[in-house]
Amino acid sequence: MSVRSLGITILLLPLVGLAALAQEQNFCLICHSEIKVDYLESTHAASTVTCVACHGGDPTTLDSRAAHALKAFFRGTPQRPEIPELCASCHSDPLKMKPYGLRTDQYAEYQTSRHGKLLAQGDTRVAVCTDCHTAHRILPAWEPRSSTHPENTPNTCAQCHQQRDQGVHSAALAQGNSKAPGCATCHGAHGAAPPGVEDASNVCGRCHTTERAHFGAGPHKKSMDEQKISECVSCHGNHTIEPTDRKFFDTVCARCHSVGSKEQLVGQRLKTLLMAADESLREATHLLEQAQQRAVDVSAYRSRLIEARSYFLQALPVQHALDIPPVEELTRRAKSIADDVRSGLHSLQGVMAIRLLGLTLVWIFLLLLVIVIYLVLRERKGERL
Amino acid sequence: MSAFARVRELLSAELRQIAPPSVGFWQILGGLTLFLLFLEITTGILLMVYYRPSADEAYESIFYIINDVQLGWLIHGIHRWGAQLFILLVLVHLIRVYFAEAYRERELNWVIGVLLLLVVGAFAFTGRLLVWDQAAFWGTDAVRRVLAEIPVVGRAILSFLWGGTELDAGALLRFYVFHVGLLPWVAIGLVMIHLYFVSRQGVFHRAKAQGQQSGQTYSDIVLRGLIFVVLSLGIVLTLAVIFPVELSGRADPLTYQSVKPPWYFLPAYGLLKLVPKAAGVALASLGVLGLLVAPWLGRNSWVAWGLGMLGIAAVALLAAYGWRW
Repeated sequence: MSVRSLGITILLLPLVGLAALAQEQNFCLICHSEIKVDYLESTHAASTVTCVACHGGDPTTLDSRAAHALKAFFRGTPQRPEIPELCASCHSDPLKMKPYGLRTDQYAEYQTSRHGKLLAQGDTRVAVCTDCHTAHRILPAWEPRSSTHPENTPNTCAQCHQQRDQGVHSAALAQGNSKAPGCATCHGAHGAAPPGVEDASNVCGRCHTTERAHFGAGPHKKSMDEQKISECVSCHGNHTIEPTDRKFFDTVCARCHSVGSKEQLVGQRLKTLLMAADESLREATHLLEQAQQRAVDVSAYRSRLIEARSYFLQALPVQHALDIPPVEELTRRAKSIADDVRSGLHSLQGVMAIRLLGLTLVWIFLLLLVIVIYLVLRERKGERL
Repeated sequence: MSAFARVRELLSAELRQIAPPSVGFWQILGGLTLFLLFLEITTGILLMVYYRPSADEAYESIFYIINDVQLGWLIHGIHRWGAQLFILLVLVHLIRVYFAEAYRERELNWVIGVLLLLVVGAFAFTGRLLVWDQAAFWGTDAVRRVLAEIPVVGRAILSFLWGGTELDAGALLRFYVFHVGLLPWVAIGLVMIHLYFVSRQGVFHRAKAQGQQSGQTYSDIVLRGLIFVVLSLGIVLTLAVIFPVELSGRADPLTYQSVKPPWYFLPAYGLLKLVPKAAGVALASLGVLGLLVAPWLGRNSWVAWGLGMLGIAAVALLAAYGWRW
């Protein structure tokens, strides 16, 4: 340990002692042992926010009456409508939150949320702070055990809301993709509210920026805005978003466009272009993987395939503009490179031929060596005779 | 006289000695295994340059060796095929020595030879896991499950070999340490003792009693052996080029894959499929013990021959059973 860190430790020791003393004098947990484990795990316990901060009372006495006396400002279990304001008494105070680097606008956001508005109207069934964060086991959102951790929010919201995401987003979350959106990503956390028809594309566009930009340049944007149709949701859905598939062009387009119409034909053309490139890419990738397992040098093909895939990935958001030429150009490039790679990998016999030629040369050398040794042996035998 | 000059003189004196007439191809087998050990050590050192013994990087480093390193696929292939040929030649050498009864008056050297066979088996077993692909992982994990079922000593063996009861990154590192840090020294030490005894006791030959002399010196034998060394190098190269090593995908502890052991472990595999695992391990251990004390069991030539044939038949049948199962 360096002298500097030793000095810091010595300076911090009294603070640690004070925190321990505060917890030691919190006699509440002696009788209320059922919440002791939850509380001690919480971030409040770590920050020495004791029971008194929320419940009042005297934590320094074991006399139940004195501990729960009104003169000790005992508040008991806070009523649901009081909870947001009670939490905000600390969490909206910049001076108190500054050391922890926490925001102080959550209460203001909450008041604008669907939850907050209904609570203000007297509906006490709506979610208050403790419903999402729990009352005693309050953990920071980055902590995986926390009820507000992105992977856990679907379960937390599902305590009240029956409709939960069953699409690609929740599947990605379940697979451990921490960047996949949870409920709060689209609906907000403290300012939770369902996005309006106009806002849905903005919400989706926060992550799907390129798709949104190309969609905005396409013919759908104007007509959907005029008819007040939700932009992304009308084709992809909201809580049941399925993985994008080329079948989309057969099923989803047909909801609005009749078979044989000009618009439907545009969809079919896009589908054909994307499918052809995708199939070529898949086969090339499969062949490349097979070749790699057989210890064939495919480094040149690998970089070509990455290039092809990047063209294909560019074509995916571009299709939202429903403009065929750019999609055609990108998919043509992707397919052309993938086909090159495919034919190259198919003709790997060329690599094997070079290897066999090298092996033949080595064998010629080895056999010459054997002949030389044999001649030496014969000569030695002749000398002996 | 310098030490180097002294060694050279001793070696020359040895090579100038007249060899018995019956010394031929079968006596060269032992020398061939020595060459393959040298080949394995050389290619192993080259592979060590790029190999990384961690669960996160082991498979990727092998992948890199066979796909990106110049001639890496060939070095890896020579190491893998060389190991197969090495094991095969050690077994043939052992069988030859047994049936020629060349262990007579050379019992201690026989024991050292059997110990060398066990070390070669340990090389093959520890080396297989280092690839860290699906076949390597689940093949080694099958052995872990067998060991875990052995009463009393099973867990102790696992703690020593695996460093715990699970096959994880720690076990991979431990296998690597055994494979490149411990076993080569044990093998080199045993080979040196083995060769010292051969030098002291002489090469076994049937013509010894009749006192016939062929006129050929040991340097002629070594030269003749060189022909087989060159040919075996060609065979290993051919196998490495025509049948390059295939990987079975990165080891995934969550995706079980049924794996057949390599041919040299098939008899043990067959035995474990035939009888309960603990009994199988006990029987295999008895077999190894029997091999160690074979010179004393087969003092009579007919008994030795009978026991040898019985052992080979049992091993072949168990291997066939393991293959079919």
